[in-house]
Amino acid sequence: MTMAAATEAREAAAALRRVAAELANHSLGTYWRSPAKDACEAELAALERSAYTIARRLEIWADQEGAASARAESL
Amino acid sequence: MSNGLVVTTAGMLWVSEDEILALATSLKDVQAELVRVNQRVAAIQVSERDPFTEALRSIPAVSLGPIVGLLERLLQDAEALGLAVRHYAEATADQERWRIATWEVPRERLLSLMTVVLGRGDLSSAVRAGDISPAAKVFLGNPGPHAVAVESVGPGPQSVNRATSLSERVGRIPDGENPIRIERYQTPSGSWESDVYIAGTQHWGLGSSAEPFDMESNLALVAGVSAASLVAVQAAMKKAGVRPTDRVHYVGHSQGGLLASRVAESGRYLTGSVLTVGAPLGTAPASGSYPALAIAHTDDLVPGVAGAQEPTGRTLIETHSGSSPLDVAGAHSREGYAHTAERVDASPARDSFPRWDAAEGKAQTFSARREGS
Repeated sequence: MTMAAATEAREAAAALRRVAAELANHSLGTYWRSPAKDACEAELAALERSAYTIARRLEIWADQEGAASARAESL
Repeated sequence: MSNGLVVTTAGMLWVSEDEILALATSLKDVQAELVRVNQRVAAIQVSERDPFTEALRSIPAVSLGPIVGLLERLLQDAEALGLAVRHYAEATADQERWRIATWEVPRERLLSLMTVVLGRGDLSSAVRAGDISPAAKVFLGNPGPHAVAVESVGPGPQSVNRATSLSERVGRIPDGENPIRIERYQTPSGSWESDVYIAGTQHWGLGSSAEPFDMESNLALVAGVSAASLVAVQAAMKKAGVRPTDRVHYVGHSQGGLLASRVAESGRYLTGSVLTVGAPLGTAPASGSYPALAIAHTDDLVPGVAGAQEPTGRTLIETHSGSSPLDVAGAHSREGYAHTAERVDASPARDSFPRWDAAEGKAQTFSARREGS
């Protein structure tokens, strides 16, 4: 069960990294000129950072689950 | 947060509602993906209760609880930003529509466009009565923000050889129900280039319609503000996978040419070139360093409806269409311009525009409808 959980967590982390990349790649162009654009870009950057952070924590959790699973299967 | 996003830009024509709606669409996709991730991670927690595994752990198990909490907060933040952006888009749409209705935009340009469809019911009577503000409203209707649903047509990307001549390019401009065609090519250096083909006006009636490529969009684009068709083109580019780092070559007929010019100038992508035929470009100068070529028939009414050309770096080629004097549609037709492009291909004037290398790539066409229609 834990190996499956680790795999699930890694896949969820990969999905989060794709979301972060999508946020990073979104261009707001050059014609929208207002303080709102700056605020929006800051919010997007914060979302991107959060997505990467959570993805990394999921990967760490998956590594630990995977290690426990491998030990269980070896016994 | 929404208060921080509402802003007025008095006197500026470029509020870029299309940029904002593109972001709103992107955030909608992000939210949907985050919901799926949340559900997956929430389901994982069952494994933590496996006592056998827990007994074998060399270090204490890390709880998923805090991660789930962070995910929920991330989803809430994404939803809040999406909501704020949609509210901002609505405010922007109202503001741009108001500017047109009150003729803050150059009215002689709008009037020249209106003359193309004069004689149609209450619009002509409004203009004759000297009250042109209601006339503008007749055009614009009240469609709300320019939310557009764009769908890929057919089974998916199809293999295609790149069009290398002007006539081939004009011939690939779509017509009918699927007004946007996007071809993507990988260069020998590994970078990507995209060729974006954009059709002209599909619906010539007054007011707004389910069709984004309509007269409302024409009027808005000539006026220099955002339009549903502009939103559609950028949404299709996003769906096709065109990235900000891609070099994009635009080809457009009529309203499609105006759209091509507007997207090329937006700075959202690296513009490789812009080729337009029969497009009303008076209010859309080419100010970038990219090559831009416009072909216009001297007997075609449409290129002139946007008024005199503002200073531009675009090369203009003018010639008679060869149509009979009363054949207005023939002078503006895409087929007529494809024949003219053949003449340009065979002439020294061809050297005023760069050539494209032959390549194999993938092509997709897209339909577009106003949402809620």
